[in-house]
Amino acid sequence: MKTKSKTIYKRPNQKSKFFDLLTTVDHKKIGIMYLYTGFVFFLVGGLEALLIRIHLAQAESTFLSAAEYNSLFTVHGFTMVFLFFMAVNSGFGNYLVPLMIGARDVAFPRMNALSYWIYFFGAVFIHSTLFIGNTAPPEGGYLSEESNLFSNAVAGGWFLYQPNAGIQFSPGTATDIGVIGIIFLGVASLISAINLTVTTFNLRAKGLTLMKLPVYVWMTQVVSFLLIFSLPFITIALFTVVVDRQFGGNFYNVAMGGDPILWQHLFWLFGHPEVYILILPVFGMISEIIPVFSRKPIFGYATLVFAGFAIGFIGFGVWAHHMFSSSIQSLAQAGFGAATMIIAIPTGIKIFNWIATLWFGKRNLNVAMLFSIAFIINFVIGGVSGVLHAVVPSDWQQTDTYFIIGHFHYVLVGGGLFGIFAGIYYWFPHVFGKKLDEKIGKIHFWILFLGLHLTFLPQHWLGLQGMVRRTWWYDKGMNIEFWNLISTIGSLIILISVLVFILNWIYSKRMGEDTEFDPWDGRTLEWSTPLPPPEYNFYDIPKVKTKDEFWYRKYSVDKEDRSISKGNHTEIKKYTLATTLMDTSHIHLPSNSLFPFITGLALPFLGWSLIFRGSFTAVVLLLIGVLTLFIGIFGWTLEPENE
Amino acid sequence: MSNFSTTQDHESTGISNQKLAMWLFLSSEVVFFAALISIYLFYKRLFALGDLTPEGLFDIPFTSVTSFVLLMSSLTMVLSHNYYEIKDYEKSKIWIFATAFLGTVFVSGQIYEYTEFIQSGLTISSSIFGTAFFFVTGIHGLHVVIGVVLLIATGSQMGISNSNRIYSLSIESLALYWHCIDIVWIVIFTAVYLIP
Amino acid sequence: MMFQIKHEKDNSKKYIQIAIFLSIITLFEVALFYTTNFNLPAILIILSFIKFVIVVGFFMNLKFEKKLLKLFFLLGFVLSIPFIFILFLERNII
Repeated sequence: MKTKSKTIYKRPNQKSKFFDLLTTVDHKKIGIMYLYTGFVFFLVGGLEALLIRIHLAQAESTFLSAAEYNSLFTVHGFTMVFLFFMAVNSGFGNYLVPLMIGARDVAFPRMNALSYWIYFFGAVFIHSTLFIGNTAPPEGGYLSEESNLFSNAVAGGWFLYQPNAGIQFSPGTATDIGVIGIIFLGVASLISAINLTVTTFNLRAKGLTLMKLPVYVWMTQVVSFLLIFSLPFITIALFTVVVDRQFGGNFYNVAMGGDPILWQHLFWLFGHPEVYILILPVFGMISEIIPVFSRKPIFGYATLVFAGFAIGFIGFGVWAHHMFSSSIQSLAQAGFGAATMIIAIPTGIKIFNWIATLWFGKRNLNVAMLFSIAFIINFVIGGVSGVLHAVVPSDWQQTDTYFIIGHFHYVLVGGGLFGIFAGIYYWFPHVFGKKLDEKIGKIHFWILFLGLHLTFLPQHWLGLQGMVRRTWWYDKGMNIEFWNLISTIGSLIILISVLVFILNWIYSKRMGEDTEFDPWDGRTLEWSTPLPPPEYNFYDIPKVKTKDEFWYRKYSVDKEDRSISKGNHTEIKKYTLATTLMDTSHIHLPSNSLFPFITGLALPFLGWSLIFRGSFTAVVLLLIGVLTLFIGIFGWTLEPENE
Repeated sequence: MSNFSTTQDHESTGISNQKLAMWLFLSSEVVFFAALISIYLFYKRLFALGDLTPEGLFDIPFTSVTSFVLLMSSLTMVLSHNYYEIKDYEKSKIWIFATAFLGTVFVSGQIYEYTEFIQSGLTISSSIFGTAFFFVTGIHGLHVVIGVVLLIATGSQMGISNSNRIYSLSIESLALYWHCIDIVWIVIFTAVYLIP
Repeated sequence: MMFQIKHEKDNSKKYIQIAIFLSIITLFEVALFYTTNFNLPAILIILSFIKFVIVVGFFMNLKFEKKLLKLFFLLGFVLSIPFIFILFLERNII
């Protein structure tokens, strides 16, 4: 079918580790790159949060200027949501999905690399705001006296409400940099979503029918669908903003007939599915970890999967619960309120399934399990405040106060971050062949647990007492200083826990307990490889007969559905480790490529050319960008097929 | 790892990787253009209130002709794919360039229309009608331009190597993309130009 | 209309027939636009919808594809409906 064509150049082969990183298409390496990069932005976002908290510890604080404060809470939101959380989810998804379905890589390996590089260069572009961003008209110069490092970034909240974030009320380049950067990141996510969907549907091992897939793979699939169908809304929305800001458009120009509510609808149509995009992969990870450390299959597999789909689907019908205090009609508000309450049902089903799995299981309360159980507790607390917001008149009081901030930090930090740490402690041995230290891990866990509650619990009553969001100043007379101080102390405790984690990471990578194979007595296919896995994942592609295939190779079931060891763990381990020495000539892997990197590299230049529009620099930047893009795309298409 | 593997050593949908990917992308585009057209319809009431109105500016006969050209480009595209399937690469190449040509005619018609409107005073900033009109038709037009570039790139490769090499973007996927922007235009033409 | 498009066969005649049918509909639309204004929007929407379905079904071959692809494509429409509904509600179109 294919003939070997004449090639002008070959695919690169890894000469140095650095060049290998630039050209890799291996899903595992790309996943790890996402995780490391995402973690860097976790620290950046955390620093931004700390500055906010230090400022808010005192009433009438002048620790930060208003401009700095406004930029900081905005970029904290952008960084944590897009540059940290989504990247970490991509990292886990990229690493785990092919392994869990018995494949050697994803369906489109170079596209996979492209997603990473678009993310990377998108992040670089967004952070260029530190140097070239300004929130003053150009006459003031790019770094005029009023602005400094912290206030050179997009401000006004990560939801960029129009026309507040339009050209009239937010002049300067900072907002444009933020808007264009997010457009880039959206493209990366869309490519990734399509890639993983095709992978999950088309590259499964023989016998792995859809209802045998691990719950994690299903959740990632729902997320891919959410991305495919919600990203268009944010892309269109951001395009309207670019048209208004850069080309004098009138979409949100009230004098010309523009309507600010249009932006809100478009944004939240993406924004709400986005929060499920953030949390569903974590639901998936928890669904893998709890069964392993309860030594039981997950309770209610089918309901978990269908609940995931229900959450995804209903999630497209609740977006205006972020707009209850806007001008939308009462009938609409009631409808969205009801839908929001309904969506708590499938979520609740999942919670019950996890608890039922834990119940009567032979529980091993190691660090991963501690994080998983805490995840359930924290997420329920966050979910309960969420259901309170679903009551429309109640939300009219709560919205735009710290009550809301308490809610979403409980679900995203108490839920999401705890779930991510659970995943890290669980899969660290898979990636690195060593375990993270349990003792340090437990210290990490308890300090974070304490820090979380100390920081975010008081925010609930602070909100109900009238402390509003996104406001840099509060008077002494408001009497909210004490709990703000407690909240800040909590955030410092979170900082300590992160430092403990970093310590654990560095220590364990050098001196952690070695594990070459299946340290946790795992259930899913990724544990059937040697650790760390070879580049080709599986020496022989597994043939799958059942859910939890790997478990049932080691265990059989008796009449009462109890698992009985087949006593073959040592044998399986020996054989698996022996395969690393066997001949691999029958295994064909995709070759490296530099062109995803080059294509991604073009984006900042294209973005900057729009920012500096009208000047000679812009033309030069545009030419560089277009040239790089062409080299990237044409080089890609003309590359020889994998050798 | 090939895009077109059809061996039965794994579970699969039976749909090729690239075709599945393109359909997923087009599903996303459906939402994209639905949102785009909805924005136009959302503001439609205000358009009759300005100095320059759709009724005053639109040249329906002209745009009907360009729309018809785009519709016929779908025919040329499907013919190109048809001949590719039966391995008549010469004919396939002719029809793919015909599609690119018709696409270019369509875009030229749009550019002509734009210059007429701009000369009459309608711009992105002149009124909300201007913003919405250029936004909707412009984004669609960009998609057509990208399509034409892809058509020419694919068509020229077909000419040069004269083998049955499968290119990065298969004719089938390219055809799906092209048809999609055609059907989007059917909706845009109806919503923007025809409905009062 | 049992219109079979068989792969690996020359279907060009069938495609040309479909195109002629589409052209007739288009001519009809244009004629209607100039002659009557009897509930024009509704008729135009219906005719455009027919053209849309024909191109999707036969040119994009969706009629003969596996269910999964039909599902994805349909999902795009279904998930756009809430947005369209709300916008129309806002503007009192419905």
